[in-house]
Amino acid sequence: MDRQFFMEELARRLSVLPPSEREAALGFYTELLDEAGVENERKVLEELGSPYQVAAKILAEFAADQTLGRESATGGGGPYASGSPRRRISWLWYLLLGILAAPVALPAAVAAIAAVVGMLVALGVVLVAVGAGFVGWAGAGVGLFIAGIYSMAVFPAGSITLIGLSLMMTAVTLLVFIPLRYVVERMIDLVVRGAAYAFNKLTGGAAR
Amino acid sequence: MKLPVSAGLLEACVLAVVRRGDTYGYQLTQELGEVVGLSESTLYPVLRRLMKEGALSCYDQPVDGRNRRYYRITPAGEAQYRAYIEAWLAHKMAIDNILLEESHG
Repeated sequence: MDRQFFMEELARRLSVLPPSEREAALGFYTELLDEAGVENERKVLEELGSPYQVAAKILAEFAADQTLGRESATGGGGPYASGSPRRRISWLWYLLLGILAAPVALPAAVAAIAAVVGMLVALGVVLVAVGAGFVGWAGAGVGLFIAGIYSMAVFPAGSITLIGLSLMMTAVTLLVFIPLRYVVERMIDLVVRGAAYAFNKLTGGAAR
Repeated sequence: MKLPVSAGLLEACVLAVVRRGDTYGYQLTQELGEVVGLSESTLYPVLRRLMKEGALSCYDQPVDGRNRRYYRITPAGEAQYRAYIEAWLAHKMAIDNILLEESHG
């Protein structure tokens, strides 16, 4: 293993980190090899081992920051910050990267990624279906309201019924929205937890 | 034979070395390497964590036309070091009791 290969592979594996994090890590290993000098460079490289394992440890450490809501160089946030959707998404992202970087057998990694992707696709389909239903319902409300206004002159009694119906539908829409949001958030949470569990199972020993 | 060193113990070792005087990365690997072995527990994640926790600070100093990053212990790091020492002494005593106790038949 030569130095150039080690540094290139490490840089490639860490390219997913925020630039400041990546620069800091690469700077550390560059300095280490510079200080070792020509005579000790080989020994240091041997002790460091594979760049993949080194990268996996750095990524795992970074992912731990994200999951535990520890202060991070890329943005602070209080104890509640980890619950926000943006944090959750970046968390999932690093989870996937962790699986990719972890030195596990390839089939296991592929299975883990497939499981995570499968859960995400299922979640996406449910979200789209629920969203479509929601939009359809709200659209019907608006349509009835417009129909009611149009038929006002011809059919006063029927039109008032239509307008009343449309207002009821709007009310139901608003009522449903709150529990719906809750359910959707729960589902996202569940998927993320499931993915985290799968990740831990796979890398339990390796990531530590 | 080398016993594996836990992450917490490694943090304590890094704090102890830096506490004796500002230290740079390679120097740390030289002082710890004998005991710990770099491959099992990479130094960088530990340093990063200690910096993030505010136990260490760092500054750059030019040496031979490049920068050398020195790590320095902070008051928070001092406190953390003392907490580790306390935990270590209790741990060591408990382990010694198991490992070294002679049976008096």
